[in-house]
Amino acid sequence: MSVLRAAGGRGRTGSAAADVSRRAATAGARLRAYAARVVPPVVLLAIILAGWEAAVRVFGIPFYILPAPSRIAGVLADDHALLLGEAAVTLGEVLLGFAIAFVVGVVLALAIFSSRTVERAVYPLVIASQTVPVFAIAPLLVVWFGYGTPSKIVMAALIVFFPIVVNTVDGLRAADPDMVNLLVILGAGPAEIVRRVRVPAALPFVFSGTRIAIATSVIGAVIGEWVGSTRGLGYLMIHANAQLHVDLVFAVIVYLSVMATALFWTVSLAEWTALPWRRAEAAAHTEGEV
Amino acid sequence: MRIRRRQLIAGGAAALAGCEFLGAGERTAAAGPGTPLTFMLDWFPNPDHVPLYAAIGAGYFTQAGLNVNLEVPANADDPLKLVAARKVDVAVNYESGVIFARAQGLPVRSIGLVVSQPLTTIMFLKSSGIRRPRDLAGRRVGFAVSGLEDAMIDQILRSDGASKAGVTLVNVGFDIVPALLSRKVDAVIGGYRNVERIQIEMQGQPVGMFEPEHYGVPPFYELVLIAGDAAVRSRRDVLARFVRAVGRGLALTAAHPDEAFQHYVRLNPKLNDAFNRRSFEATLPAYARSQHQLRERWAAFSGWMAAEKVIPSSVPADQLYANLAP
Amino acid sequence: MPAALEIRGLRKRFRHDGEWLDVLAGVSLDVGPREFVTLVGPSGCGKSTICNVVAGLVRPDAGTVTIDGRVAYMQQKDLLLPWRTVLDNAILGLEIQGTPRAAAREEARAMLRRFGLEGFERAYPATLSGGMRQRVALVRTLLCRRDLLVLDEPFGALDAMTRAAMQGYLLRLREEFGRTVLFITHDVEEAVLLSDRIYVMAARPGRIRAERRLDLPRPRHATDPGAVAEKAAILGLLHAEMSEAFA
Repeated sequence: MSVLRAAGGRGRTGSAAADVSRRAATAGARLRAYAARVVPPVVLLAIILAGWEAAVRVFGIPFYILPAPSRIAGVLADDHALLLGEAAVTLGEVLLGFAIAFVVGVVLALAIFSSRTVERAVYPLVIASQTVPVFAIAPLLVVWFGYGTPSKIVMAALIVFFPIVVNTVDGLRAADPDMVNLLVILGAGPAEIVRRVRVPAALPFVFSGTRIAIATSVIGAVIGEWVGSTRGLGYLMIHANAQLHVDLVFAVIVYLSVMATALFWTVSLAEWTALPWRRAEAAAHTEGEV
Repeated sequence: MRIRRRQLIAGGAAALAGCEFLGAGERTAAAGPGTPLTFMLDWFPNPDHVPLYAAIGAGYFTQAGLNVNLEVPANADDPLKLVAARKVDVAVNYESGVIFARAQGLPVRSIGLVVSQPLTTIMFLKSSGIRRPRDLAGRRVGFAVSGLEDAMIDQILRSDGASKAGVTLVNVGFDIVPALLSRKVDAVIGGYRNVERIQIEMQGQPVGMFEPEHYGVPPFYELVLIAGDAAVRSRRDVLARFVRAVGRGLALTAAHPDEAFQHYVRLNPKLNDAFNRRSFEATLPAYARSQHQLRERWAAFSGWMAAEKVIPSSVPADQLYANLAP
Repeated sequence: MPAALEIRGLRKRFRHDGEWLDVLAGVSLDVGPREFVTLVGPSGCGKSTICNVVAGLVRPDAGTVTIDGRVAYMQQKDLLLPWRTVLDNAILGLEIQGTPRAAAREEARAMLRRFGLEGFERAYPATLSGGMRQRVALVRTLLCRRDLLVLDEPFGALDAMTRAAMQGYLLRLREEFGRTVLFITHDVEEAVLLSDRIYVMAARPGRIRAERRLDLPRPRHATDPGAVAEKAAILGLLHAEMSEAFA
C-alpha cells in the first residue's frame, strides 16, 4: 500500500504523547520551511544592495545618473509623507481599474466560452488590443475620458483586462471532459455543470492571470499619470525628473516595485485562502520529495 | 609630431579661407579632423537651432579647428546629465535647467547663448475672452511638466492681484496645442511665441499671450549652451572657440537670415516647410546678439526661483555661468 | 431494485484519420437482475464504447439498448473533483439528485467507514493514494442508488495488492447491496474471480465471440482448479482470436 496522508483527520496511532511529539516536530519543520522560503531572497537583496552601494562609491558614479541605495533611503525617509500620499492615489487607480477589468473580463470570457460566434468576433479584437503600445493609448484615453482620474483607471483596466480574459477562457476550457461527462451521467444540467466543474476548474487559471495582471497594471496607472494628472506616483516621477531630483525619481521607483510586489503576493494569498485544495496538492507534491 | 603640424597648418589655412568666404556660405575643404567635440541639442531640431546649423553649414566650427559631432537627445533630461557626467562636451539647454541642476549639485554651467530673450508664455485663444491674468481665475490652465509651471503661474497671477489657488492646473503633457484648440483647457503655460503661437495661428485662431517678463518674472535666457565645470577648467580654449563659432552663426543669421535658414533646411530636409519658415521669422528678434552673459540676470532668476520655492535656496550666480569669449 | 440490461445488434462507427472504423459490429448481450456479467477482450474490441452507450454518453448507429432502471458509471479514472473533500465527492451524485446536504453527508460517512476511509472525510483527493481514491469513487457510485453499475476497468490503474483488496470490496458489496453489475476488464483472472457470466469479445470489428457461464462456488481463489480451467479456456479463446488477427 502506498503511503497515506490524513489531512485534517485523526492520525492512525491515536496516542496522545505521540500526537504532541509529532506536532512539535511539524512545528519545527514548518519554521524551517518558512525560513527556507524567506531567507534566500532577503540575503540576495542584501547582496545586491551592498554591491550597488559599493559600485557607486568605487566607480564614482554620479548621483544624478545612479543614486546609491543609501541616498535613496535618505529620500525615502525624508519624503515619506509625500510618497505615501501619492502612492495612495496611484493605488486607488490601480485597484479601481483592476476591479472594472476583472468584472468585464470574466463576463466577456464566459461569453467567449459559451458562444462560438462571440469567440470568433471578439477574441481577435481582444488580442489586437494588447499589441497597441501603452504610450499610444494614453493620449487617446485623455481625449476620450478627459484629464483626471478616469483615464488612469481605464489605463490600468486595459492592461489588466487581457490576461484575465485569456486565462479565464483557458480555465473554463480546462475542465476534464471526463469529469463533465461524469456530471452528465449523474444527471446534472448545463448550468450545474458550469457551477460545479467548470468554474472551480477555472479558478486557478483566473488567479494566475490576475496575479500577472495586477502587477503590470501598476505600470499602466503610472504611464496614465504622465499625462493629465497632478497626483500620483507617475506624476511625482516626472515632476521630480524635471527638477533633476534623481533621488526622488528612484525613491518613486522603489515605491512602485514594492506596490507591484505587494499586490502580487496579495493575490497569491487570496488564492491560498480561497483554494484550500491547491494547498493540499502542493503539500502532497513537496512531501513526496522528502 | 608631424601629424600635429599638419593639423595646425590646415586649421590656419581654413581660418584664412573662412575669412575670405565669410557670408558666401561655401565650405572650405576640411583638411583635417580637428578637435572632436560632442554637442547635444536640447530637443529635436527646430527653428531655435537655426544659428547652430548655420554655423555648421558655413563651416565655422571646422574653421575654428573643431570637429563637432551633433547629437539629438533621446530624453529631454539627457543633455544636462550627460554634460555633468562628462559623456557629452557641450549641450543646448535652458536657464532654469542650469539652475535646477546646480541646485542639485550637478557641475554644469552656461558658457554661451543661443536665444537670449524669453520665448515661453501663457497662451490662450483670443476667443476665450481672457484679457488679463486675473481673468484666469476659475479657469483651467494646461501645462507640460517642466518644473517651473507652478512658479510661473503664481508670479503672473500675483502681479495682477490674483491668486494661483483660483486656477485649475491640468497636466496636458506635451500636446498643449490640441488641448487648447479642443477647448479642454482655457489657457496653456509653456506655449512658445515662435512655435505654438504659429501653430495655432496656422489653424486660423488668433492668439493672446501673457509674457512672463512683463508680469514680474525676471527676464531669462531661453536657450543657452552648457558645459561641465571640469571642461571649463581644462578645455577652456576649445570651448571658447566653440562659443565664438556659435557667435558667428548668430551673426550670419542676423545679417543674412535666408542664407542661415538654407543651411538649416539643407541639413534637415524634412523641416523645409511653411511652419518652420514662419517660426524662424518669429524667432529672429530673440536670438542672442552677443555671447556676453550678464551676472545680474543669473542672480535675479535664481533668486526668483528660490523665492517661489522651486529650489531650496538661491544658487550663487558665479556657479551658474562663465563668459569664455568676451 | 435489481435491473436488467438488454443490448441487441449494437453498431457504432467512429471516424479516425479520415476513415470510418467499425468499433462495434452488431453486439448483443444480456445482464439479468443481480447478475455480475463481465466483458473481456483485447484492446480495441469496443468494451468502453459499450459502456459509453449504456451510460448514455454515446448514441449508437444502430441497435437497441434496454435498461430496466438507471445506470451508475465508474471508470479507471476516479474523476474525483480536486476541489471537494472526500466526503463532498462521495455525496456528489446525491447532491445533484437533490438530497439535502446534511442527510447526504450522513449516509456517505457511514459508507466511507465501511470502505475503511474513516478519518479521511475532510481530506482532499490530492493527498490520497490511487487505491483510496478509487474507493471514494466506488462510494460515490454506490450512493447514487442506481440499479445498474457499469464499471469500466475500474481497478486497471492499481497495483496488484490494492487491486486484490478492491475486488474483495466489490464482492462484499455485491452480496450486501445486491446490485446488477456490468464489468469490463482485460484481466481474465479478475473476470473469473468476480463474474457469474463472461462474454469474450473479439476486436476489429468489435463483436461477441463467446459466452461462458461460471458455475463456480464462491468465495473463489485463483488457485481453485475450476477457476484455473476457466481461465485457460478463456485465454485460449483470446489467443485464437489474436492469431487469427495476425494471420
